[in-house]
Amino acid sequence: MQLKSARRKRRPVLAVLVLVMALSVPAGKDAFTAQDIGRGAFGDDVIELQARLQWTGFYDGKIDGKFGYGTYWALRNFQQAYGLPIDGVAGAGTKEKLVSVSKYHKDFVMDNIAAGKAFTHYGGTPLDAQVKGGGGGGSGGGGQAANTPPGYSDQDIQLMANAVYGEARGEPYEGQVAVAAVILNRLEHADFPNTVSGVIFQPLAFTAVADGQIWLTPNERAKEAVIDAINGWDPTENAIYYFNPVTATSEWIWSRPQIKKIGQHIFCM
Amino acid sequence: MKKLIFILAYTAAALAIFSWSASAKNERLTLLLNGQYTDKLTEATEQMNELEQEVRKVLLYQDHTAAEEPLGNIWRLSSEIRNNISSLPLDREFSSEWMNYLTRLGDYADLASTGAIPQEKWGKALGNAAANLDQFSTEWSSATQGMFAGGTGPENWFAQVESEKPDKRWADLGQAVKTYSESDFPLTASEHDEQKKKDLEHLEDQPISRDDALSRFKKLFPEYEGATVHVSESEPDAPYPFYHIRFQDGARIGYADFTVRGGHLLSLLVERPSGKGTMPEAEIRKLAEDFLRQLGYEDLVYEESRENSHFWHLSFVRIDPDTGGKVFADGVQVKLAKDNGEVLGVNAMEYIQKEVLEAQPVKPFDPEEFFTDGTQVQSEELGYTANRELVQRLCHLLVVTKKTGGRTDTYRLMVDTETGEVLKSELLR
Repeated sequence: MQLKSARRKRRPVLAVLVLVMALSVPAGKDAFTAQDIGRGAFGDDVIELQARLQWTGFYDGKIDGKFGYGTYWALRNFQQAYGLPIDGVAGAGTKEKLVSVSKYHKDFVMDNIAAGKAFTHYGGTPLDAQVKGGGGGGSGGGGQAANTPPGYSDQDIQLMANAVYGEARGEPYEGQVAVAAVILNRLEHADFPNTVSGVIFQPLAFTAVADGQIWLTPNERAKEAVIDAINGWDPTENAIYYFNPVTATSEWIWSRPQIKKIGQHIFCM
Repeated sequence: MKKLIFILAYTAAALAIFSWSASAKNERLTLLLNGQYTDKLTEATEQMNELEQEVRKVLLYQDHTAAEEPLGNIWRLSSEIRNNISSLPLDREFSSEWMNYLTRLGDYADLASTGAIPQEKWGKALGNAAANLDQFSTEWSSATQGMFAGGTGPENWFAQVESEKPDKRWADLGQAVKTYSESDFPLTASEHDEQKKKDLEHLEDQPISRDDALSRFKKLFPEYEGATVHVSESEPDAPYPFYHIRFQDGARIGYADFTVRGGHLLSLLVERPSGKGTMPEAEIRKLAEDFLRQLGYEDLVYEESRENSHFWHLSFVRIDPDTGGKVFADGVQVKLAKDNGEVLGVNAMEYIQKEVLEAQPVKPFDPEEFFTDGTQVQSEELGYTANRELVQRLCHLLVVTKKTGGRTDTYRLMVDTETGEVLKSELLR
């Protein structure tokens, strides 16, 4: 009878212990989604994949959620080491093996990404010792950057999104992609600077720079418009200038050969 | 009453202090900006003199090795002056023309230093450039007279750029530089072709009507059969005419552009709210391939894909039927929704006019001789890329890895099959 009572007393303690353990143990088997993860993938699944590969010592790149070649070779090496089919794709079997041999401290990883801090996630080293600082500041802060073709840095994407938002946030989506496309067209054109920041900050080239609206925090729509433009879309059909006919005062801008009007902007050569 | 007077006096004093403080801050910023602009202008002017000297120096030599240094200096200085000019609020027309001239001069010197242009030819072009730069130097001094004195504040610089009518001195200078560009460095045949391709100027297909364009849109995209559409035509000055179709179908808003000549699809883009589901990438890819077949694009192969928050962007490239090489310049991009694989965009602008490819020998390629020890060739196929003269060349398209400092780097290289020259090398992340 006394034993039974003691057990009864222990039950809530055990329940609390189990709960605490469940909460403190890193994300488990069902942490990945059901998707196969291959080259070109982007997002939380890739972050977990990179973190787990790093935990096991196969990946030494940046945990950024972009499945590029660094992740690809690391995954192939992991597959080879564990006798899995070597295809560089994280399917069900590979994910199961990864989960069984590694840990994933989701909060640690996600918090550091969100804060824009440099960090690693190796097994056998205290996590606190793996944060190297950095981060903070900037309108975009940390977080996952966009997955774009080579040649564009995260800062380029951020600056372009700021410019698109500052210049065309009230415009239709097509008009926002168009503003991003003009920046890219200038980048390729001999008449303009050959860096994204050079093009955007060329004196008086963009109204948003002159009136400070470029420093507003861009929304997802502006960022998507930039990604579409970088992937090749150009609704302006190769324009290098645009202006608002209601507010433009320069006689010169009216002399440029016009191509098309999108929303409030006329796009020209 | 006394209290009221006190409050009013206090407020007036606070406002006066605030106004004085803001004015002092503005003055500091104005002086700082003025200093920076004057510094850039001075630097650009000095570099222009140096550039002219280097152009004159290079004319001394017939010996390629001796010419290399001044040619390198011309390339470097033209790039540095471009940077300085681009950071100054100068007349737009002049600024564009001058940057263009400097780009062409720098590129020309770079090509000359590699031996791509014969000495006789570059000697003549740079001889003209030396005379024109001398003339330019006089006109530049006249246009910038007074700008170094410090009395010209940033507001005067801005006013000049924003004025309704450009300053005559700058307009004349811009016009002069345009003439120099045309005389010193005329477009090569390849550059001209490249520009025409970009501008789709030489499409020779029969023009289609506005109604034909709309029918074509509805045939290619039957899901928008019931959409509200508005069709307009490009402006008369557009380098090539096209129809611009804007449409709305429930929550979907988008556009599609078709060339007037031939009714070729230039691009389509649709915006709609995103759902929460996620379709597997393999199914997304199959949907994109089916869609391209439906458009009649049979000669494309999948190249790569990129996932973002709500969409996948997939790239396809044309395969040359004769060599089996990938023609990257003739690509098509497709944008699909992650939630259900719906096609939300297609960009076929570069696919409309195919590259003209010349037959080219394929010499044996030995990776062991070409690369250092430890470099592994992961894949090898054929592909086309443009060389410095903008001519499409058949290349060995190689993906190689090399372990350096414990890290494995991946590169994509394009090596000319005839000359063995590396035309493109890209570090893949």
